[in-house]
Amino acid sequence: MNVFDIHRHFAFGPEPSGELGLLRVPQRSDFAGWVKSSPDVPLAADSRVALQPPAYYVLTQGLEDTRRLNDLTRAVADALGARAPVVLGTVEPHHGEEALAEIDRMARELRFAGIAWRHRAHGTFVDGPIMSKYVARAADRGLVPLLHGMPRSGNEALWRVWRLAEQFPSVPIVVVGALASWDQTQAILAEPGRAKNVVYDTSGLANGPDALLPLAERLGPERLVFGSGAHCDEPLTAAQLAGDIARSSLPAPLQRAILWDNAARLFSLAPLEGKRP
Amino acid sequence: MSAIRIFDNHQHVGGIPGVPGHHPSGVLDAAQIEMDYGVRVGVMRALGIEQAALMPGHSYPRPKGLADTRAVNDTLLAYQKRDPARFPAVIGTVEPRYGLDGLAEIDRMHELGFQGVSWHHRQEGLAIDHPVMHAFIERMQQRGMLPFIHCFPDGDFEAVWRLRHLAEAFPDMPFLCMDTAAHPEAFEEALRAGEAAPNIHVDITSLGLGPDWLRRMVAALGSRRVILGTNLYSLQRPNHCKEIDAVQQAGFSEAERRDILGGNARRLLKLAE
Repeated sequence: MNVFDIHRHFAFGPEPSGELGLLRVPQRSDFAGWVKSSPDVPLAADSRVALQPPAYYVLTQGLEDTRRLNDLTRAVADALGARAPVVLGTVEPHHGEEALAEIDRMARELRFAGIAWRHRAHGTFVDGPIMSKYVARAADRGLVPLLHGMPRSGNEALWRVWRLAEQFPSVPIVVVGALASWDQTQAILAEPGRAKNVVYDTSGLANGPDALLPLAERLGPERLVFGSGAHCDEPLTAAQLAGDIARSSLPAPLQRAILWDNAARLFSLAPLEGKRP
Repeated sequence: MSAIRIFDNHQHVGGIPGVPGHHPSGVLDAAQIEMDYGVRVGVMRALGIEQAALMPGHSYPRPKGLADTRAVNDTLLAYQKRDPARFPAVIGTVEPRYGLDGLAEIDRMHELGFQGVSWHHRQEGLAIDHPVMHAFIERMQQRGMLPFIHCFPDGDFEAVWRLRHLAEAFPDMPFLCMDTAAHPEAFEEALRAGEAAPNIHVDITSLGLGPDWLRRMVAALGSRRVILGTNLYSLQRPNHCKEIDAVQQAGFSEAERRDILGGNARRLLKLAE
C-alpha cells in the first residue's frame, strides 16, 4: 500500500547529537559535504515523505540562521529526490514581520509546499498575533501551514490551534501530534465542528489505529493523514506505524485515505508510477 | 524597630506582545526609558516598594539573534543607571537557543555588573534542564551570578520538576523559582521541590492563593527562602499589591516579614541592607 508520511523531520546529519542537542546549521559552502555524510534514508519503494527541518537549531544569528536552515532543507530534499516530493520550511515567530520575506522566498525560490511551525520550540504561542500574518501570507503564496499540537504544551494548546485555524476557514491546515493523548483525542471528538479546515496526523497516536475510526466517523475521513513524527534516520519506525494502520481492522478505503489519498489531495501528489495509490 | 524597606525581586522592563497595555519591545530609547521610569516609580511609591530588581520581558523580537538580546540587556543597564539606588539589581537574559554562543553574553553581563540572568523557558524554546542550560549555569556559577527561573503553571518547558533537576545538579548554587504561586498545583510542586533541594528559593509572584497558602510556604521552606515579587511589567499601573497584602495579613513575625519583603533578595543579590 502506498504510504505518504506527512510528518518527517530530517536529523542532525553527520553529528547525530548536534551541539548539546541543537543543530548548528552548517555554512552553505558546506552543505554538499554535510548531506553526503548524513545517514541515507532507505525508504520503501511505495513510501514518500513531506520533509521538514528539525525544530531545534542554533539561532545566534536570528533570521539568517533560519534562512540557512531552509536552504539546507532544500539541499536535503534534493538529495532525497522523488522520495520527498513535498518540502516544508519554517520561520520563527520571534523574528516578527521580518520573517514575512522568508515566507515569500520559500514559495518562490525554494519551491516549498508548506511551512511547519513547532511553537514549543519557537517559545511562542500558536495563536500569537504574528501567526495570523504568517498564515495569511503562507496561504497567499500557496504554502500549506503545518502546526504541531502536542498535548500538555501550553504553547501548542489545542484551543490555540483552533483559534488560529478558525481565522482561515478556507485554508487547509495540518496539525501534527495532536492525537498523542487520549484526553486530547476526546476533546477533538467532543467538538467536531471546531476548525473544520484542520487535518490531523497520526503521529504519537494514543491507543493505536483503532482510535482513528471514531475520529473518521465524527470529523470525516478526509481529515486524517498519516504522519510518523520520525526523523529521517528512523525509517523503520515510520514503516512500523504505517504497517500498524495497514494491518488494522479499519476499513480499506479509510486506510487508503489516511495513508495516501488525503495527503495526495492536499499537496496535489501524482500517483506513484506502477503502484496503485 | 525600623520600617521594612520593601524590595521587589520581580519586575520586567518590556512586555508581552498582544497583551493590552504591554510595551511591545524590550529595547527602549532614552525617552521611552524616561516615560517607563516615571510610570514605574509612581507605582512603586503607591505600593510602598522602595527598591526593585529589573529583568527583561522574554517575548521581545529577535530577528538578529544575539545582537537583539544584547540590545535588550543594554536597555536594562541604561534603565538601572537612571536610578541605581532604586534599582540596585539588574538581571539580564540570554537565549538558550543560541547554544554555547550564549556563554559570551553571560561573560559580558558579568563584566557590566549584572547580578543574575532570567529565563522564561516557555518563551525561549528550550527546557529549563536542557544541556545548554547546564552549560549556562556552570558559567554563571563561576561568575557568581544568580539564576532567575520562571516556572509559570502549565508551561511544559518551565515545569517545576525541570528546575529541580537543574538545581540538583548545582547544589551549591542558589536558584530562584518564580511564578508558581499563581496556581495550587504549581505551588505544591514548588514546595516539594524546595523541600528536596535546599538551594531553591521560591518567589510569591502572582500570589492568587492568599495568606493561608503563604503560611504553608513558610512552614515548608522557612521564611529565608520565600521572596517577594510583583511581576510588574512596563507601563502597568496596579493600585494594590496582593503579594504584599498577603505577607502583611499572614500573621508572620517581624523577622519573617523582613526576610520575605526584602531581606532575602538583598542577601542573595549581595546588596546592602
